[in-house]
Amino acid sequence: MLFTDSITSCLQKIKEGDEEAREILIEEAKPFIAKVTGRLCGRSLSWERDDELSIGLIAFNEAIDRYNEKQGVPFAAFARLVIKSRVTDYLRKESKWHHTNRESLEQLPEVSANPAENAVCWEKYLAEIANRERKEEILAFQRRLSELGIAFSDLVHCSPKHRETRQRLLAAARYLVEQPSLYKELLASKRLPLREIMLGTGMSRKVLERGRKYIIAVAILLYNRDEFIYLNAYVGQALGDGGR
Amino acid sequence: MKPGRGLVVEVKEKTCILFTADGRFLEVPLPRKGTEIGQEIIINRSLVSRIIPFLAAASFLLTFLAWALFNLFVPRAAAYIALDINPSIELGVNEREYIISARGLNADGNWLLQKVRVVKLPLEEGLQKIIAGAVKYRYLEPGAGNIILATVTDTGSEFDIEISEIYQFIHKQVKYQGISAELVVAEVDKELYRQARDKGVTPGRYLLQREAGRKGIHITDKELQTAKIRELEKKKKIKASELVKNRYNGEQPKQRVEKKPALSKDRVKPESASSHEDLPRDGIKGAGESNPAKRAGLEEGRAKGDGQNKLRKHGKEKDKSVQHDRSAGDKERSRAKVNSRAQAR
Repeated sequence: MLFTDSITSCLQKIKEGDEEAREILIEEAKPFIAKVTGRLCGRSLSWERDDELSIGLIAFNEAIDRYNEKQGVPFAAFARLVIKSRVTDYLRKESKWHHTNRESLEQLPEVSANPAENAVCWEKYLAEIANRERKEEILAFQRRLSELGIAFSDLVHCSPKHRETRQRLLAAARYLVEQPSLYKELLASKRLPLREIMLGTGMSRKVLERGRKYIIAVAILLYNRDEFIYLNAYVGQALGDGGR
Repeated sequence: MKPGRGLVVEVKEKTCILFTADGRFLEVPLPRKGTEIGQEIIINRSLVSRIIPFLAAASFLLTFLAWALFNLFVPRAAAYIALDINPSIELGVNEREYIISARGLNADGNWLLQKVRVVKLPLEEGLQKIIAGAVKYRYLEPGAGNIILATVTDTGSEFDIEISEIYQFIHKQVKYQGISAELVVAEVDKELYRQARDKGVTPGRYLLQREAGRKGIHITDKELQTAKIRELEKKKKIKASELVKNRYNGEQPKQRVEKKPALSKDRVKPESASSHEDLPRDGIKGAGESNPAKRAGLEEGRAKGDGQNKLRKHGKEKDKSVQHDRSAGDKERSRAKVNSRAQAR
């Protein structure tokens, strides 16, 4: 839910006072929170021991309340930003700074009591961060692809022009992602497990062969939803829910 | 899913690659103000696909304009007048009765048209020149049984050329040349004209073939194209005048609804004045003086003017019948003079 379009309606419900929805969302987001916080701290954390996770959880809750769709940032990205900021604050306070990564030096501007005062500054900051993160994400995506010998220009040539074909290839990619063993096989062999996908989706070898690179690219995006937040959000409907 | 938006994922020298909102990867030209990875840009439809509707509209318009201009500047013949002297000639005439096209329908016709230039002349003058040419080059010979078969076809609805007028033009000139000739003038509808054109013959000849066919006399296409009408008459034992006349008898009083009935009252039928008149004794002299009786008749209907002037139409009433002059006795009488003139030349 966190990375799909249904997050919008879920947040709407929470804003209208649906506490149950909030609980569900937070529960679902726990792995995501752990991942973000863990990366920031540079170690794996456990919910029983580490305060950082609690801080992250509170920050996530804060993000739910403060998120504004109109700012044009996907909720997951926004939540990550808030979590990073709050956890960094906490670490600084606790003098555990030396544990943290250098990448997270920037921080959210202090939110003062008067939101109007901060609004302009905050939005500008958010947009800046979002731009940078988006770019980093795209570059990361590019690296992932090149590991498998795929360049963006290859994708231009093999990305299907017809919506129907595209939907079928997306379905194939989804199938691939839903079978973790297949995805691992893909990463290990750098080859698309055509036979399995053929069996699983009933698509012809020719279609799959032609869209091979496209399927792999989409599968990478879908599999790493918590990492490629912006890209997933951008093409969310097309990739995630298109054929369902 | 909004198509037409895309995230820039790679920037190249002149293009950038987009990841579009509908899940495609596209390579598009770099926006003018430049871009960087992560920016969202709106995809312009390619120039070609944008202007295709305009192109379609424009080409349609152009075709229409060309057609309109063509119609405007290329004069369309309002009527076609086909002559079989034997040179077969077809003249296109515009509304002002000027000849705008002339083509030969057989070798003699082409040859004669090379000798006699008639395009851009008034119809009367053109006909005169053609007849004169035919006489000069011995297509019409004094004394011999000449026949001139002429057909008139109106193409436009607004313009009517008087068949009697054509008759007059030819008749006058024939007499002026001192030749006797059987003159058969008929009006032919567009359909028949088209059929004749498809065969490459004059409507008059086509009519002969058809009418002869009805009588059980077969004229082959080749004969029709090459043989002289007199030869055909002899060979097939037919009479051109009768054949053509027959056709008109068949659907005779198909007179058009008169547009100006008032005019027709004082209209003088040139036919009555011309077809039964005597050949003038002084047939050698100019046309203006050659035929006082006819001229007197005509004068009533039109304003003053000499014989070289274009004849005005007297009314809209169409004389569909063939005007046919076979005043044999008259011819006999004039023949002596004609012959003497020919010898004198």
